[in-house]
Amino acid sequence: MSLALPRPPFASVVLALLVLLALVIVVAIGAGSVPIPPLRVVRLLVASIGEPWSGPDADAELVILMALRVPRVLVAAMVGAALAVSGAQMQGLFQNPMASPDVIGTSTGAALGAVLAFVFGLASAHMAWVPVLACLGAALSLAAIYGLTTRRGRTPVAMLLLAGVALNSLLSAATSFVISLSWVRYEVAQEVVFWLMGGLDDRTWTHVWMAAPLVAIGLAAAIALARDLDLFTTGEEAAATLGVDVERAKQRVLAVAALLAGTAVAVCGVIGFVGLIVPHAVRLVVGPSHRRLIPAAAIAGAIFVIAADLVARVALAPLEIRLGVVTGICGAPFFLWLLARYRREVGA
Amino acid sequence: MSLRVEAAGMSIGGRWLLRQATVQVEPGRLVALVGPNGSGKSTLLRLLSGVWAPTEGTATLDGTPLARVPRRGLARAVALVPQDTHIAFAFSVREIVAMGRHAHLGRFEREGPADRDAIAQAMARADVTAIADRDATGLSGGERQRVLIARSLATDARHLLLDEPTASLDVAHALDVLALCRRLADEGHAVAVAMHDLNLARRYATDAVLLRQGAVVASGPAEQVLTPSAVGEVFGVSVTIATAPSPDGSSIYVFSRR
Repeated sequence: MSLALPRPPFASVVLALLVLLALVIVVAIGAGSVPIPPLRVVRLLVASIGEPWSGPDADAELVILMALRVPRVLVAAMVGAALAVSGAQMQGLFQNPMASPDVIGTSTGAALGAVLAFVFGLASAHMAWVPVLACLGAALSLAAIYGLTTRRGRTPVAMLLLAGVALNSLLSAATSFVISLSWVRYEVAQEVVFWLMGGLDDRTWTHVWMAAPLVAIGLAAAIALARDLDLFTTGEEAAATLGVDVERAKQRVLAVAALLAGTAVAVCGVIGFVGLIVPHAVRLVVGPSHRRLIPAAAIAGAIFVIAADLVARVALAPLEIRLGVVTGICGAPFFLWLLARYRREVGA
Repeated sequence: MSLRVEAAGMSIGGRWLLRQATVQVEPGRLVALVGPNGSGKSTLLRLLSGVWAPTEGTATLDGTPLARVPRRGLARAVALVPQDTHIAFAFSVREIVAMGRHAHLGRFEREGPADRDAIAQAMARADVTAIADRDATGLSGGERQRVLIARSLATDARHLLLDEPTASLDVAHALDVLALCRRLADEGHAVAVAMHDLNLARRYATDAVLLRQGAVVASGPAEQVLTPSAVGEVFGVSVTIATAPSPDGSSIYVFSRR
C-alpha cells in the first residue's frame, strides 16, 4: 500500500470529525415517528440543561427527546467509540489489519457472558453483572485467540481468521446450548435473543450510566497505551529493546480491548464490523500512529454507529431494521475487499 | 563501558542454542559474529541486548547484570536492529526513526527540541533524510534496513547490535551499511554485527567471534580469528586467500567445496 504522505494536519481532522459528530447527533435525535427539526433539537437540548424534563407539565417533545432519543444516541456513540478503539487496539496488537472484536470471536465471547448473566438470574439481581460477565467473556476469548495464533508478536492472517471462525462457532454453539436450556422461560429467551441480534431499541439512561464509566476508562487507558502499540509495528523484540515492557503492555492492551468490546456488547449486543471498518478508514486519513488513530477512531466510530442506527430506524420506517443488519451490509463487502487485497498474505 | 556475556548459554525447551559463550563488545570496536546458520549468532545478540536472559552464565552492562538494569535505561544504552525488518502499517520513515526516542520520553510527553535533533541527526547519519516522509512499508529492503539503523541511532545508545543487516541487501547497499557501522565504531560506538559474508567481515570488522553449533570457536582481533584454516574448519569448506586487484589491494577468501 503506498500512501500519499504527508497527511492532513491532525487537528483539522479531529475538528472535522467533531463537527460531523455534532451534526449526526442532532439529526439522529430529531429523526423518528415524531420528527423534530434540527434547530428545535438544539434549542430543546440547551433549554433542558439543569431543568427537569419529566413531570406532569413537561413539554411532550422534550420528554420524547430526553427519555427515548438522547439515551439511544448516547449509547450508540459509546458503542461505536468502544468498538472502533477496541478494533484499532487489536489490529495493533496482532499487527494484522483483519483483527476486530467480531471477526476473532471477542464479541461472541462477550455475548455468551451477557447471556449467562441473564440465564443465571444475576442480571435481575443487579444490572452490573451484565457488563462484568460480558467483559470477562471478551477477555477470555481474546486471550485464547492471542495464545493460539501469535508467535513472537506476529500473527499470520490466515491463522487469525481460521482461529476466529472456530472460536466464533464454539462460542455460538455454547450460547445456543445455554438458550436451549432456558427456552422454557420465555422472558429470559427473549432477552437472550436481543444480545445475539444486537440493537439499540429501548436503550435507556440505565444503559448510558452503565456504559459511560467503563467506556471512559477504556478510552483513557487506550490512549495511554498508544505509543507502546506503535512500537509493536517492527516486532516484539524490537519493541523490547526500545524500552517497552512487552509482556505487560500486551496484557494491558488485551485487557483494555476486552473491556471496551465487552462493554459495547453488554449494552447493545453483537454489532458486526464496526471495529474492522472504522480503524481502517481512519488509518488511511491520519496514519497508523495510535496516538492519533485511537482518538480519531473513537469519534469516527461514534459517528458511524449513530448514523447506522439512524438508517436502521428511518430507511423502512415505521419498520425498524436491526442495527447489526445495517453494519453488516456496510461491513461484509468491505471485509471481502480487504481479504482480496491481502490475498497474497492469506495464501490464496 | 562495555557490554559482555560471560560463560553464557541459552536453552529453550531442553535444546541448547548457545553454550558457554564469552563475548565482549567495547567502544571503538566492530565485532563481527560469524558462523553457519544455526550456530548461535542471533541468540548471542539476544543475550547481549537483554531480550533473552541467559540460562547459564551472565550478561552485563558495565558490570551490572542486564536483568538489574532498568528497562528504559537499557534501551538508552543498547540498541538492536532485528533481522526481521517487516513493518506492518504505513508509518512514515520519520515516525519509525522517532520510535527510537521512546525510552527518553514519559508516557504522555511529546518530542522536544533535543529529541527532534537526535532524530534528524540519526536520519542524516543513516542517509534516510531524503525519504523521511515516505511510507515505510513501500521501501526496498536496503532502505528499510537503513531506517531501522537510523532508529537505533536515535536512541543515543552507545552499543549497537545488528542481526544480519546485509542479508537482504545488494552489494552496494551492503557496503554502505557496513561502512556506516565501521564509522560508528571509529567514532566510539560499540558495535556487534552478525553476518554471513566473510569477505565483508574481513574487510570491515576490527574483531570477530567465530561460532559453530552454539559454541564460540574463536574470538579476538579479526585478522587472528578469521584465518583461512579456522573459517574453513567452521564452515566445512576449503579456503584460500587471494589478493584482489582492487584499488586498496585487499585480499579476499576464495571458497571451494572440500
